Amino acid sequence: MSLLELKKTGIRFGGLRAVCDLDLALPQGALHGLIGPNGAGKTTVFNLITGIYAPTEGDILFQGTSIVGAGPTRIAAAGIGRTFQNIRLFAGLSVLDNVKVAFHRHLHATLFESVLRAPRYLQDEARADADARQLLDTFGLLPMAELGADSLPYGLRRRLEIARALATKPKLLLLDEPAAGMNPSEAEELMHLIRWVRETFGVTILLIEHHMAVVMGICERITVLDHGARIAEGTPAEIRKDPVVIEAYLGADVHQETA
Amino acid sequence: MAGPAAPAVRSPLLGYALFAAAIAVVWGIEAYAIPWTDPYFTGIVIRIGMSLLAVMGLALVLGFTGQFSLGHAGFMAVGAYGTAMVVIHTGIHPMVGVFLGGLAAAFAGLLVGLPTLRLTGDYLAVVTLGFNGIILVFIQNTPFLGGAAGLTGLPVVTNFGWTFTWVLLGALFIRNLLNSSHGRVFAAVRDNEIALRSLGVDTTRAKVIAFVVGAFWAGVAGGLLSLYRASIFPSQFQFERSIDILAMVVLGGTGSLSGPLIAAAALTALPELLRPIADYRMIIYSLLLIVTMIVRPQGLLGGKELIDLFRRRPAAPKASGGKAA
Repeated sequence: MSLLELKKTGIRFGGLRAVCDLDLALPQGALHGLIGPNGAGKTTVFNLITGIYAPTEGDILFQGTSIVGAGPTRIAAAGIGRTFQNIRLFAGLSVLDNVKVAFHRHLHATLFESVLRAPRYLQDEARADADARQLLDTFGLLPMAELGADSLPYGLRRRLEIARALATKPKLLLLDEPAAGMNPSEAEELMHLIRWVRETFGVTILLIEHHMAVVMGICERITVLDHGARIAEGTPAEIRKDPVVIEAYLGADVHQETA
Repeated sequence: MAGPAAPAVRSPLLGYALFAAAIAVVWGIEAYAIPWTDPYFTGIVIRIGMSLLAVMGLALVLGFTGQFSLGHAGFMAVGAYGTAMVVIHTGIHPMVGVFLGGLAAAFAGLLVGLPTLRLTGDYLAVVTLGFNGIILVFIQNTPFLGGAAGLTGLPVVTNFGWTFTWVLLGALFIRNLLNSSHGRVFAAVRDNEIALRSLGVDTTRAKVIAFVVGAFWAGVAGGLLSLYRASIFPSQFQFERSIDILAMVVLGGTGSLSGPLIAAAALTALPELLRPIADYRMIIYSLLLIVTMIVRPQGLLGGKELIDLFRRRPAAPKASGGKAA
């Protein structure tokens, strides 16, 4: 059974079909790439999966159950974590607290237990603190734990965002252009990080990326979107040779992309 | 909020002991110092206490959670009239009445907050502004609540001791709440709601919690006010009062609890201290607001607490080539 399955999924914004008739199936443990020219609808697919948008057509199944209409909070709680194209950290919180926030759902202390510093609150806090520090440590971020998240350099912010998403213990992790703005050596390091994350945390990963070296280097299968529709799917080797894909990226098409 | 390193979990016993000591000091002052103090001065201090209670609730809602509420005086009104009704019609202790008045305000906060806080943006400002107006019109047209003439003949119970007992309770409540997982979630709501939802946290619930807690403490402030001068009037809770409280939070600094409390004390005392030059009072008051906004737009202690000023800055980050694996 597929962990995630999109069936003829589509969404219209007024007259614009941002995504249409998209079929996508991710088996457990997959590392799948989603590529396409600017404005192809890649981030919209992420927003459909995570419930920020509700699809106007088709269905989205997670672990065999439809998640259409469940909303971002419940979908995240069901086990889908994500990062954002434009990094969305909690700028006013420390690096450590950015991760601790992700544990909130798993804490048991009530409001009054928190205010009264009851034993259950103390246990919750101790556990959240230990878990968050351990996670930061595995990501090499522990030395910056007490710093403001907005004081981290760009590459580490990306890393923290991935760590924070993993703190929710997702089964599926959606990474939206994690290599954006990175130089080749940083992108190389990110590739190792993504592979390592999949092995260590046992997550299935769906990756949007423009950095072809990254996508071709780590993804087992790739789906290519153009104008909201799937134009190809296959292994990196197949995609590289696909004339339709080459045309979408390089061809002198009359359609102008609007990002 | 990205403060220096503190132990993750401290035993609460020291805090409880300090709190008990602070309560004892408050009642010590009430018993031994207040009788010798000029009642005019005591009155100013008590009104500062009520401002502190109203402001700490809005500091939580606006300063920490980032929700723009313009009707805080409306919740004070609910607390004041709730307390008055309980005290007039039952025989229970007036301070229990203040607590119940606070609960009534919290319930009003729930009614206003539940439909509104599901939305992001300026809806809350508009709805709370409307709520403030509606509650006053309701009181003015309800003979049972005294109408526009107000309620008189209430017992005078609010003194220094009770006021500052409530202030200490409120400060402890809100400080502990902010230093808990809930507090982190409030700050995360302010910073990025979409990211917070992607972590499976119910942002509406978090906002409603902050809003209801804020309304409760505004209600307590109102309750104390109703038992202070034996009477209350709807005109004490007009929109201008909401703006006063808002100004205290903004001047004190968003993302700070001690900043707004200092601003509340200063802006409550200032008109009294300037009374000898009363003709120029409003000029000085306005200039203070303008200068603060120019010199420190983040407010007195934006994002900091008073105690942070006495702590050393955290050590500079060490460059780390820490590989993931």
